[in-house]
Amino acid sequence: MGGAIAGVNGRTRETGVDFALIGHQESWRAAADVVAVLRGADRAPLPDEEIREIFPWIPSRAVCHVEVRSATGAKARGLYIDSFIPPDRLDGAFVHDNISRVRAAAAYAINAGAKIVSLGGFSSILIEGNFDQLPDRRDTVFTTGNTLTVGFIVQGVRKICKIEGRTLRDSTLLIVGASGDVGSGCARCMAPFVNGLCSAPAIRTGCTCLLRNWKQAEPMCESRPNSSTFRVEPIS
Amino acid sequence: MESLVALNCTEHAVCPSPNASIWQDILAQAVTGELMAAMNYTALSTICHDPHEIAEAQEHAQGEQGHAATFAAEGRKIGLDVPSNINARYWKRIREAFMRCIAERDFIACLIIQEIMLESFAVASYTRVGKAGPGSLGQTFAAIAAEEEEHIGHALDILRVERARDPRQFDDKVYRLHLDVMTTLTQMVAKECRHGQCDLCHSSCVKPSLSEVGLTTAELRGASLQHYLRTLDALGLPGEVTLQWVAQLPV
Repeated sequence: MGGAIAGVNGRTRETGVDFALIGHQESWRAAADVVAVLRGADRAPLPDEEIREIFPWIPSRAVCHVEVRSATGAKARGLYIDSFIPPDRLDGAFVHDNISRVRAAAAYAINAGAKIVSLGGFSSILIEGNFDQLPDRRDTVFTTGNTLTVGFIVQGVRKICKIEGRTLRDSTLLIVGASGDVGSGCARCMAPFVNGLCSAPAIRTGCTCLLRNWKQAEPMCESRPNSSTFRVEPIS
Repeated sequence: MESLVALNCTEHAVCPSPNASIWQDILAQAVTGELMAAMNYTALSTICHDPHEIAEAQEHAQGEQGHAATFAAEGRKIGLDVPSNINARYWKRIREAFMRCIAERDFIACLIIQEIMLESFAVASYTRVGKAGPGSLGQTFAAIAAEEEEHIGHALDILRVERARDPRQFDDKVYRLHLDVMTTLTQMVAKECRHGQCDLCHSSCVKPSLSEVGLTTAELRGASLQHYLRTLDALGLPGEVTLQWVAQLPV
């Protein structure tokens, strides 16, 4: 967001927030640090064994408030919501429990009135882009953070075209890693504006499926100047 | 799932299994908790004004008395005479906290202690014991857990209305009671009785032996605190605040 975190507050009440971040602790050391902050400096830290016993039972909930300020001075208030996935339960054996924790964290964000919610890396992997797994979202939108990444990439491509004196409408766009979340997002976003798309996927099958989808979507690409010559093809 | 009655007993004699002494101590806690709940509801009926509220409190008192009798009967089925002691170390402190609220004629504070704090612990721990307990013993714990859960639901309706009137004042009251009662409850379910015996275990402390019947203090404590946090969520208290409260409890 281009701004520094101005404040982190664990006691403020959630009365409508601009955004929420959903995450979890990646190590027991980090979990112990969170618990230590919650307990306060005047109380003895909990022994590691106690933390390992208590932590898995904590339901998903906000841990602190975050306030960010942009370079132009705009402020946004947010929440960090921890799903309290125990750091030693990240593997496949706990996938159902972990998904339900992420769902609970999402429900918490929705109830807190967050306008936009970002799922941390592991949380978004659990959801696998299927936001239908999340509870009724009301007016809250969810992102994995990949949408912003795609936005930056598209902006970068437009900028470099301008610098190089090229027009997107006459260009063929090569996407490396087109079967991934970010690559496929770039393809969907750029397809209406370019003459053609080429992809160099990391996973061949995924790319073939993607190309089929782009071809099917072709009639919707109204802003493309010359649809008769538009081509989508994989390159090896 | 173990059998609580040894197979080589004579037809009419009931011989407790090696784990019977563990169940005796677990049942003693349950019977004492239910008897105390019955006394609390009886006391609550004395500060109610509305005849409907008085009748309801008395009805709850009878219900809790019935739960105590049911647990005691489960003990007898496996050849145990289950003791109770409402003056036992931790229960006495909780009772005193409740009676202070009665003295102040604070109906809402009484509901918070009995329904939000004590019943949360009862529902969560009975549910765990219900899964570990053999046969009818486990079924009884599970069934009573379900009945207690209904109590909580009813109390939540009353307390939500009260909180809506003045959330800050309500939350401050819950916090004050939390410090008083939840501190004692968490000491009760701590891994070890470092602060002294509970006065209910019939010989040595039962906690180290719980694993022999498929239970641990860690899961009883964890499940109880989880249920408590969820109940506070349902009341509308901010989750980040109640998380701090729980994190600051003694271990």
